[in-house]
Amino acid sequence: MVATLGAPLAIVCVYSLRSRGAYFGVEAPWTLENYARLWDPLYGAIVLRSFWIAAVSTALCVVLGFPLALFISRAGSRKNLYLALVILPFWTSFLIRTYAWMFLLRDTGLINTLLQSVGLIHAPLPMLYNSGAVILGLVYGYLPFMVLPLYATLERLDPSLLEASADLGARPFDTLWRVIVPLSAGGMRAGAILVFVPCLGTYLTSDLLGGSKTVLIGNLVQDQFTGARDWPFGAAASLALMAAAMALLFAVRRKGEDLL
Amino acid sequence: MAVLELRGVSKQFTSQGATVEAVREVSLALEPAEFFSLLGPSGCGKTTLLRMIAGFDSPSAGEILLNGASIAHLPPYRRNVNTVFQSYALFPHLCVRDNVEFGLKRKEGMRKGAVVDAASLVARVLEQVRLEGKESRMPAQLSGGERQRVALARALVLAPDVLLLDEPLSALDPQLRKQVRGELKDLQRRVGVTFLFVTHDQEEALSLSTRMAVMNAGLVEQTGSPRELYNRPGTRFVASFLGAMNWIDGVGVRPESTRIAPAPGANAVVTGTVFLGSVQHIEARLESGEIVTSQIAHGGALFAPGDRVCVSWDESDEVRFPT
Amino acid sequence: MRRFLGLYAVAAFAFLHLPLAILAVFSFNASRFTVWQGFSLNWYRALVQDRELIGSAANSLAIATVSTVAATIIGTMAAYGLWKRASPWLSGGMYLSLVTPEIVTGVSLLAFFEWSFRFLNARLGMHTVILAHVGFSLAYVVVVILARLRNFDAATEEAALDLGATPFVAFRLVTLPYLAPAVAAAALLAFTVSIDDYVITSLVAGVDSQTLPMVIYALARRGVNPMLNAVSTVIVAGLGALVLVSERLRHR
Repeated sequence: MVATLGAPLAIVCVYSLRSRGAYFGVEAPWTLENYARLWDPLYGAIVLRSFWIAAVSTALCVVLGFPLALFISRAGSRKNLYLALVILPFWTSFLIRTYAWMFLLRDTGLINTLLQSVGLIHAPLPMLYNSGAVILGLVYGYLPFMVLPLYATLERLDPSLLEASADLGARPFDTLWRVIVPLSAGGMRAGAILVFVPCLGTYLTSDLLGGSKTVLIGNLVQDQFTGARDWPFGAAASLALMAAAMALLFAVRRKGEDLL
Repeated sequence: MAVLELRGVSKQFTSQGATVEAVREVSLALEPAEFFSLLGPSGCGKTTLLRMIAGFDSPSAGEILLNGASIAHLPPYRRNVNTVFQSYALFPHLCVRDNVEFGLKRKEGMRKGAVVDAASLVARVLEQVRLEGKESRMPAQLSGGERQRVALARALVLAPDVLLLDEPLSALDPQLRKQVRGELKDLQRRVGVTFLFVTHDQEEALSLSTRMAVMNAGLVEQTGSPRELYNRPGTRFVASFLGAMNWIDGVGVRPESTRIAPAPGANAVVTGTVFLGSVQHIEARLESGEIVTSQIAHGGALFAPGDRVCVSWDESDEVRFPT
Repeated sequence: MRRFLGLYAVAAFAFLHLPLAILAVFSFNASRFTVWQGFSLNWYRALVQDRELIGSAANSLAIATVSTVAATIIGTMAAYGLWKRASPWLSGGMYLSLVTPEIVTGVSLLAFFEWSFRFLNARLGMHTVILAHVGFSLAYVVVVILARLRNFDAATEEAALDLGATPFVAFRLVTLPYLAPAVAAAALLAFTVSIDDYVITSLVAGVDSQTLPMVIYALARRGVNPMLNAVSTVIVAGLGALVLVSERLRHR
């Protein structure tokens, strides 16, 4: 018993590392100036862009992930196979999956080369280094995080509810829209959190696919801690990010629901 | 001398500011080789009491003595008391033989003296529960009844002073239950170990025990032989809990002790009949408005709602409690 | 509707897997352009000869192994402790860890380490990376083990105690065998997460400890490089094989 309680205590110490935002840094005086700077229109634009991109990516994940989750939940004996197929990309490197899109989208990338060789376009489409590419990369990277909770909820759906719906006269699409979708709200909420928060704080995707035009909160923080050497400001920004994530979690939580 | 003695045992639980008295000043004494049942409705504290005897909870007050020695401070693995759990709790990764041998191996580990010939002990107990030939099966491959027998064997092989059984029949089908009941009684007689059997099913308690106690809301209402408790209940609760009881004007009469006959001018009217196969239950409303249930044997007269009847009984069959 | 779902699923799976497949195909391309010019193993040869790359891969493997072992052991004990006695602090900390964006975790760990260096005479290096990896892997391990424990009948452990086993022996002989598949899955998860991490590692690594993701990132930043295709294919194949093998073992 002592051993099992002692280890957790050690972990609490480790966890305390995690939310340790530092107010110090190079200067000693305590100040709220760093937080004030976040409201500066320059940084405000960054914050807004981050929220916008995260929101669009999450919405796309819901729309694209729902049919897939539905399909798998009805797949009978092949369920595990399909689940494995969804999870497999996730197991491989996130960095590499982001790089794959670089390979495909750049001006001399595969897609442009193919389209040009077929004659559909005559000059390369600028598909890389913009918000669209970032959204694409994010959706690609986090889709499994939406599909899995959705699948878990859909799988637990009582089939007799669907039968009752049909019995009472609803056509398949009605049943889908009025019964299945509302009942999967819990899964959608879990998936939305699992997607939105990482998207909000994304660094790699916006760095590699977004170029210098798409600076998001994650890039801002990273920059402050390395290049710009303004740790206090970086800390303020990252804590603000954390606060946004926590607020979202609270807002979306319902009593009795467990993320895991 | 009593094998197991409980003296003034109580247990309180506190949760979210409220204190619950799960067990209140229970005193019991179990004699060697008896089949003792602890009967009561859900939540009456019988399982809590069992867990305290086994060692998984400690009493808030009172003493627990095994063969005269206090065991309340000992952890479960140092008490010579073993439990058959409600869910059987067989180790899923071990075969039947390894499950049964588990306790013997622990004894060796603690050097309570090397257990001589564990293998033959295991073989013998498996024979006693009629599981010979199934030693290599895994729990998942056994039926409910077989799993229960493994749980029994596993506990009995250690020759405990008292064997605790926590509603061991509740997970079985009704048909199987009756059969296993008989086997359990035989087993106890053959093995001669004191059984402490916890249940909410009064039929089980009445048919199996040499002595029993009825518990309600943390208290023991009455202790005695099944016959004593049924024929001379000591409290209203015991009277109502064991079998059925009619309460007429504060006096209790059992349905099977009443006689009912058609009586055209009488003031009691039949309100309903229930056919139960071997017996019939006739419900009649008396002049006072109270409802009486009368039990008559199969093949008795047929009654219909609206018939006027006369319900009677012997005074010696009455059960009275001072108010 | 069934047909629509089926078609959609095919498209979705294609979306998920094609990019990587294409990367793999082009890793065998003789030229560095996205026009196929013949099969070649050039890039793989270049890969093997790149000292920096191989060195960083060795680092990554070492870090992943050590942090996986540590995280699995500590995480399993933590999950077991949590299961026995719920602790809002511990579960809260766990959720926090899972939900925190990587950049925030990385930055706070960096700040913490730098602060601690005022008292300890140390610098950023392999050890800080390992500590960081153990830190963020813990939550994943705890989640996996807890999920398995939720299906465990507590009476089984009590039965072991009842039959004469001490708590530690009961854990070793009864609970641990039950947890074995989950421990393996958790270890695999921790390993993959560690091998792949860029953001946190890059912040706490210091100058002399390069990991594979860091080298890959540097190369990717400079533009498309077919050697990266080769690296990608190797990693994907390797991790994929690891996952398949473990799945096989698990469902035996």
